[in-house]
Amino acid sequence: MTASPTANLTTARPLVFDIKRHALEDGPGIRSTVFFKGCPLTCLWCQNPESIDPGPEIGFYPRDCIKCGDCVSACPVSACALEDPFLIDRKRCTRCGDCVEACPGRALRLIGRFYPVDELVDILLRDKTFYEVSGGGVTFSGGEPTVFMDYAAAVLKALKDSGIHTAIQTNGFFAWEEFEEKILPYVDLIMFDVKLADADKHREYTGQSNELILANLKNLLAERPAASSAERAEAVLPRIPLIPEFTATVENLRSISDLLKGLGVKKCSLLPYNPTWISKAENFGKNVDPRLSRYLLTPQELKKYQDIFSWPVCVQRTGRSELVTF
Amino acid sequence: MELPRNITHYMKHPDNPADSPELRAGKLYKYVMENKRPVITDENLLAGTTTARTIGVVLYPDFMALSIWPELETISRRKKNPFGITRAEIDELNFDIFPYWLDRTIQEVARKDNGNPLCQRIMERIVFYIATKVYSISHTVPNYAMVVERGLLDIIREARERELSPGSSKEDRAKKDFYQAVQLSLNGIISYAANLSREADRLAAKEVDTKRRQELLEMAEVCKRVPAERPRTFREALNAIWICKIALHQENANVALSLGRLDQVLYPFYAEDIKRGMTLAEAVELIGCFWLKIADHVPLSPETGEELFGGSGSNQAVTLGGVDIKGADAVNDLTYVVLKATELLRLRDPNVNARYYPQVSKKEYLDRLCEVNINTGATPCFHNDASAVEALSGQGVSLEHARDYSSVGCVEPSSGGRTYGHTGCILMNLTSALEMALWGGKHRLTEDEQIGPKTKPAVAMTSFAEFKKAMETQLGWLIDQVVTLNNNLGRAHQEIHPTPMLSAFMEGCMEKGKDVISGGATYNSSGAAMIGLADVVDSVTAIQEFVFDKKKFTMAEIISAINADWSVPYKKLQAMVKASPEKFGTDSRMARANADWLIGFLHDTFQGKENYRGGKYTVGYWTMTNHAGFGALTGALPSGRMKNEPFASGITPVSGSAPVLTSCLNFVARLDHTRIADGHALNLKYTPSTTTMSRFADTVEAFFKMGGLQVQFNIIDRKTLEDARKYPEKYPDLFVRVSGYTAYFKDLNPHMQQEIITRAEYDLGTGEEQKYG
Amino acid sequence: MFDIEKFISGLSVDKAMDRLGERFLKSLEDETAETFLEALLAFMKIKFMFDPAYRKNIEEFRGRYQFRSKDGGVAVLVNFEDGDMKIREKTSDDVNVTVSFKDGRALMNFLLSANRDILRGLLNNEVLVAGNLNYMYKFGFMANHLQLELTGNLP
Ligand code: SF4
Ligand code: SF4
Repeated sequence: MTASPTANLTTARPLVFDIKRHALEDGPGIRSTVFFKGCPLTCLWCQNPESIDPGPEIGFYPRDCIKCGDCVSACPVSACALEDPFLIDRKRCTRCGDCVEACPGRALRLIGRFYPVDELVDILLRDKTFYEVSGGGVTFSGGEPTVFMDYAAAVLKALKDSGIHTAIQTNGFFAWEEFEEKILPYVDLIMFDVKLADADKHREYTGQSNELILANLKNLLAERPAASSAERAEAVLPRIPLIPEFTATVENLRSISDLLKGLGVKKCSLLPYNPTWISKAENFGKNVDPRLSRYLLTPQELKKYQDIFSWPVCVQRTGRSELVTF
Repeated sequence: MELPRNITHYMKHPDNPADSPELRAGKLYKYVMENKRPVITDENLLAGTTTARTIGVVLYPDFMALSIWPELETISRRKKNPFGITRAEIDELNFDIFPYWLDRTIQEVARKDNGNPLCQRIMERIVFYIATKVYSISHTVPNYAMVVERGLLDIIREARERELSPGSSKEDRAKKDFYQAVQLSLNGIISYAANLSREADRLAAKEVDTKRRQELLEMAEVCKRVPAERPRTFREALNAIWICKIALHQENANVALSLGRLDQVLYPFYAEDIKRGMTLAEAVELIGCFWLKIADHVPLSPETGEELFGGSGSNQAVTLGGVDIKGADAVNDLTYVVLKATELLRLRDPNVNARYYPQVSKKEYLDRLCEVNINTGATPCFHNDASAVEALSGQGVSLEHARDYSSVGCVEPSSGGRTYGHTGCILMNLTSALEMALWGGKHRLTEDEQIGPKTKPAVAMTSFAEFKKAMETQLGWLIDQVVTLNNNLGRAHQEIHPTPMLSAFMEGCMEKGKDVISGGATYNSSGAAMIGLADVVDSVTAIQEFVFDKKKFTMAEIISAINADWSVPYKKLQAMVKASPEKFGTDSRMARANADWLIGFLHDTFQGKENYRGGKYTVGYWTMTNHAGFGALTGALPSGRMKNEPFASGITPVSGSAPVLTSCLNFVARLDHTRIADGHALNLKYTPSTTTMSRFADTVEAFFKMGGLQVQFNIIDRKTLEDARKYPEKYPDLFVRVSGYTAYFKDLNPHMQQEIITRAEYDLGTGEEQKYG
Repeated sequence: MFDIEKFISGLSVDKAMDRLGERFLKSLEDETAETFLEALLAFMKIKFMFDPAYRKNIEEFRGRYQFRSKDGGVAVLVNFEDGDMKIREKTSDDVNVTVSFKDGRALMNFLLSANRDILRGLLNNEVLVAGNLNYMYKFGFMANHLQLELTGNLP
């Protein structure tokens, strides 16, 4: 067994930064989506910047702030200031969490919480009826859920035992053997991100080469004794994020299309760019690369990209934008 | 004007002053119906009107008409719901009609009979409860199947036969009076129909438009036949029901006088006519005519009432779909025709209620219901048959009868046509009991007066159990009062206002020879609606969590905070309380336990009481506009709610405190619906752009599978509502779900508009509550 | 206090009516409306005495009203009987209806629809009516009528 490519992250305790219930965009039916914290890639367009770091972070929600100043007096390193529109000077902050404790309301929140397996399973099972009537289930997302293989496996197994449909959204950057052994038996749908066909560009924009990722995709789609090819095609859904100037170029999309065709893929989905995350990222004190667009894709652009693919492509709604199904 | 004039005239000159109340009522309504002006309005295929105008106000002199006396000379100029009245009419009311009733209204008769009892004086303080028998008893479903299957002559024949049966005991004589009253009043209805027929002929004779002329001639034919005889066509059946409904409007103010399962009752006539060549468009048109007719009268209330509790229509419920008495799917073509008419017309009345039985009803039907909701933004509401049938069975209704339930008023399930359940006779403000528990039986509005029993002041309490005990004492006392009042009022109705026509259209009365108000119906119950449930649960839970469990602050601090309306020194406390996840409508175990306790206590206590007809009291959670009205009168609460803010409506969580849609649905679905036998209204608001039909339907289905009783939606966003508040002229027809029924947004009082605007709005796409501000 | 005869002595009826009418209107403008009840009752009385159209309101009417301020400072018994109106400063339990009020302004706010602030009245627990409400409604009509007549606002 090869060493995990994410070994340095796995040592952390798995933290969940959000559980979205009644999610309609993360797989079939009504679902609960678990967002893990920690990711081996550092895509510069990452829409959940709070999910990259595996450690807990402090989120500030100005609408809930009553400006009482308790955080200011609680902070041991004087990182809080009411005059600061973002409240916290992130460079100084040591993420000790004292201010979160002090805040009377919910203006300061700890992002990233550890749930014992039982507790997480209990929360996810609360909406079982919704999954049943709608053909939905649970989706693991991130961050990167495969960073915490053992933990994810334990939760997924418990869900499968309760008859729940499971899905994961992965960037594909994981150790195949471990994934095949621990995760694969317990997931019904794998949404697999394919970002850039070119290995160098991949390394430049995401921090890692795409070799491992593409090899894993190949493995997933290859013959496996248990599954028919139709089942495999159903179970794996490649997803391509459309980031203007980065992934959403005719050249890149053509290459991806050819690559997927070569692998026998029949269906994939495109994720239109949604710039609303930028202000959210700023609340977390993240720097946003100035090259990133602040506009939604136009329908014409979407159509152009979609036409590159020679098989059915579904354009997924992300965030608040409109659902477009072709 | 016609009605109070005729009633007063008859009462001043009765046929025989020694008549029993029943007999007097029979003669009175015969007189009223015979002397009712036959009015045929343009552009409607159905004949007859509630008042002498196309749309008019009805005044019931022994109910609340006198309350507008002070405003008679200003009412034509008031801002909300003005009402045109002539000088001559004012003088007639002021000098001739009203003075006769000074000591003869239900309210005053009940007061005199019971020596101005405490329970009635408490109601006059407004903030504790309202007992609605002072203005009507019509919150029920008459048996219209009887009207269209038999015709009135057959009912009269039965009454005559029963009247002739031997026996001369006091009881037998009372029965005979009842049977006579039925015959007299139904004959009055038949005379009215005959007058309508003559009027249609008269109009036809001078009509130049040949199409309308034909319509009028047909109308004359229709009214010649129905409701005396069994109708032959769909149109005759509808007109028969309408004429009987007009009659019932003379007998009682229309407060949720509901229509029952029209798609079932009318289906045979519809199917026959379709076979004979009626087109779907014609069927939709007839239903449309009926919908326009049933809203041809408006209640008139004084300014105080308008300001606090105004904006509701007459709240007549129609029930569609569901299962039949054997439990099989009862949805038919007419169900869809009625839905189509509803979708096209978007009217406030009737309040359309759709029944759905998970696993029995078809998925296409649910999809269609969701589609109509998306297209109209507000209707129909959804009832879960499985839970409603269980709730009614728990009240002693037979399985077959329970399956035949229909909705009364807002949401109350009732086995229609055989239950006299006055399902909205009590509206009780739960927060008033909370206040009294906090202040040892006093209420902030009534200041130093000792209203309820003297319980230990909350500041001196040392455990949560002690606080709950005080709540129970105050609630128990409040329930005693309001039940006594309802029973007093019920007896006053028996004494001065029997209802022979409603009784004629109610299963059971004929066999027992008794008026509905005296217990003639097969099933007898009374329904009490509780207002402020979520606010009270959140308040009680906050006290448990912060004062007793975590001891973050003291009871004295909470009390100072709410006395100061959570102003500056208490902003931190308020933020803490509001930020707590222990709230009604979340996964909180603590809030759930408190909700179960409260609902259980209310149910058990009310069930322990008997009404004046030997029936039981049931409890429901729906509020009409009362959550805004009572809210406007109520100070800040421990839940973090500020002074004068509306309470959450129905059984809905407080806006902003139940952020997850599935948790909210889970919470409500798992409440024990057998203890919510008077129904509940769960009001949800969806953001329109995210609402897709199939997920919408799945969400409803899941809610019902978990046991939810009823749910209803507004599919509209906050921006539109805010705009409509600013520029009402731009949105004349914007209609919204209030609580259990729909209303035009522009008609709502400002408190209510505010409540709807800030009501929790869920994005169906993410299942999250939308935040604003 | 309610000695109308004295007030109008030496004046013509028309003049006296005008005077009392003005006094009634003026009492409405005053911040506390302290004199409201007195001015209203006095004007009402003279109207009943000399205006047959208005008197029609109390022909064949019998009704006893107790008005009193919550602090006990004012207690007035008004008795209508066969076209006559009697005003006396006393308390009695033998009445059709009792109205207790915080101050003149509160009573005015309660009685006159044109000057009304319903919510405020209720929220401040300003007026309490005990007994037969219908009698109150009738009185309300008669009081409103006077104001509307004086201000030329009768329909
Ligand atoms: S987390 Fe700790 S260091 Fe950072 S702002 Fe809060 S109190 Fe200061
Ligand atoms: S403690 Fe919380 S509410 Fe107070 S100023 Fe800081 S962030 Fe705002």
